Amino acid sequence: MTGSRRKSSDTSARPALIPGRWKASFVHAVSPAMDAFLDHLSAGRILGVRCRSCGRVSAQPRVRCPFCHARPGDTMIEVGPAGIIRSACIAVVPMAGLNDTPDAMACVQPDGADSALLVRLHGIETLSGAALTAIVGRGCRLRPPKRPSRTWADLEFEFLGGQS
Amino acid sequence: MRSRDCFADGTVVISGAAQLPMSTRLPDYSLANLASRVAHEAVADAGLDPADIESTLLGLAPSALAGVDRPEYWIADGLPAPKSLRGRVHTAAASGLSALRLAAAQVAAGKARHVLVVAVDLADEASALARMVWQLLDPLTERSLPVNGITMAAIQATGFMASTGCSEEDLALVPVKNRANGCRNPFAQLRAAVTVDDVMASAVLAHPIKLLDGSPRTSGGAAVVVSNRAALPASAATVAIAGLASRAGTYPMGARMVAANSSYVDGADLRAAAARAYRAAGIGDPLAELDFAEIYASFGVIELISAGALGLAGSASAVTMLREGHFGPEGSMPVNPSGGATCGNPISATGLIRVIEATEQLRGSAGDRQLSSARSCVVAAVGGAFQLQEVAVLRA
Repeated sequence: MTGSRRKSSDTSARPALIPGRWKASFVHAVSPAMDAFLDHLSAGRILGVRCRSCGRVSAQPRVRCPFCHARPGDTMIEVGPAGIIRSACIAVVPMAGLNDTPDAMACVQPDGADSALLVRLHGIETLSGAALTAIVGRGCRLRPPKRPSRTWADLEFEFLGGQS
Repeated sequence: MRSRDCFADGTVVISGAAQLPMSTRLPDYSLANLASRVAHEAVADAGLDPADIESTLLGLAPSALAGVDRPEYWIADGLPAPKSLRGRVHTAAASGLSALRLAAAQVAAGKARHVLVVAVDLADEASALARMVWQLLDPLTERSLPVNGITMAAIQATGFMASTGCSEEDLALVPVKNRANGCRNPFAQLRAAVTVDDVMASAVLAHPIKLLDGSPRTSGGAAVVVSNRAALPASAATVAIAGLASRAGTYPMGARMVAANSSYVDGADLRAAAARAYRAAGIGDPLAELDFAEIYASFGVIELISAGALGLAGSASAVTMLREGHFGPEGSMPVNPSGGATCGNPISATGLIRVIEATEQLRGSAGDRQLSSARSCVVAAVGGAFQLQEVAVLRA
């Protein structure tokens, strides 16, 4: 064969550009603990689990304690519906098709729990700068679901205002 | 032999390193030939032949960034020693440093004399990063929320400011320092200085995070050869790996921002990992005994939390050290003299680039960004869900 041939190990050829889009659907199962959590959430209640090893209360309940990593057991207790804001942010740039902005997200520690929940927090969407930082340590309350449902999106809190 | 003994005697060394100038787009490369180029350059830098490589590890972030499910299969043929490919490490932005740790473990255990670590990203081939990160998250509890790297850092920043009393202007001092450093780094993607006013006036992404607080989308590649010192000629320009450690913190963000565990804002997981790496390296006082640090931080707040957790502020706070100029290139503890991820952040490779930048400093070959004193340093990277910590102590 005449002419030049590229060695098989030579990967410096200009790449072809091949536009691609991944599309896949999934159905996710939940744990028994989360199953119970969602049942109670639809009735406006928050469940936590007290770890039989370290004694801390984790909300939401998990199959492993997020603090000591032991299996926490099945001692479910009700926490909240009031809670303390441990941190928050206001998303300004929307993620396509996912949310309207401004969209406030917060870590809220329900009364009676040792952990915080990552939730949507209403009533702080216009805050920025020092005013946003100042809400850390202040109170909020679970906004009861408008209808019985079993989705995390219904776990929304309302900022209560006031002083820390 | 205990791992601390392996590292204490200087047996495990970095013998070769290569990186490519970072850019938003690298249209002349596929992921495979990007990996091929940096890998061959690192082997040549070590003075080795491809046949000397007995093990190869790839540091690769989520497959969605590569656009193919198993990019390691695609990359393999272009590697210097394809048959030596042992696997792929994915700990998100810590991938490169995690792979380095595993490579060092192979050498320390006597399983290989020379291990090649390669990490690459072509960001311009991936879809919107924020949405891609969101797709990695817990489908039940997190995907109804706007969780992505930006909002995760924003929550971290709010918590950090509330607990330390520092301001957004203080956080802005990190990119101001790093962008100035990046002006001297020919590999940096962003090579223009910014001011605090520039950062504060840049577009808000998620309060309190603004565009210039963060790192850019970046394509880039890096490779390092980890060797047994005894398998190299005496004249080889090596850097000793004196200590390595990692720690995976608990996953839920809400279980890291409370009294029982506040590692998301105080860096306790990184502090624990660093304590083990320092113990292995015989470091008792990092501020006094180390000369500089290369820390992966995609946002300024992460650099501040990390610097404090790594003991680089001594008894002061990291914010105070930064304000007083101690973390600058002329300061007592330069942090990210390369400009860090602020000036270029190819996610798979960014941890390994910190290692390469540290190596160049310790070899005295860092050009315009060379520090006056660079004999030992700490390298750190956070990955996973901002809870996987990697730490390395390197010595000239």
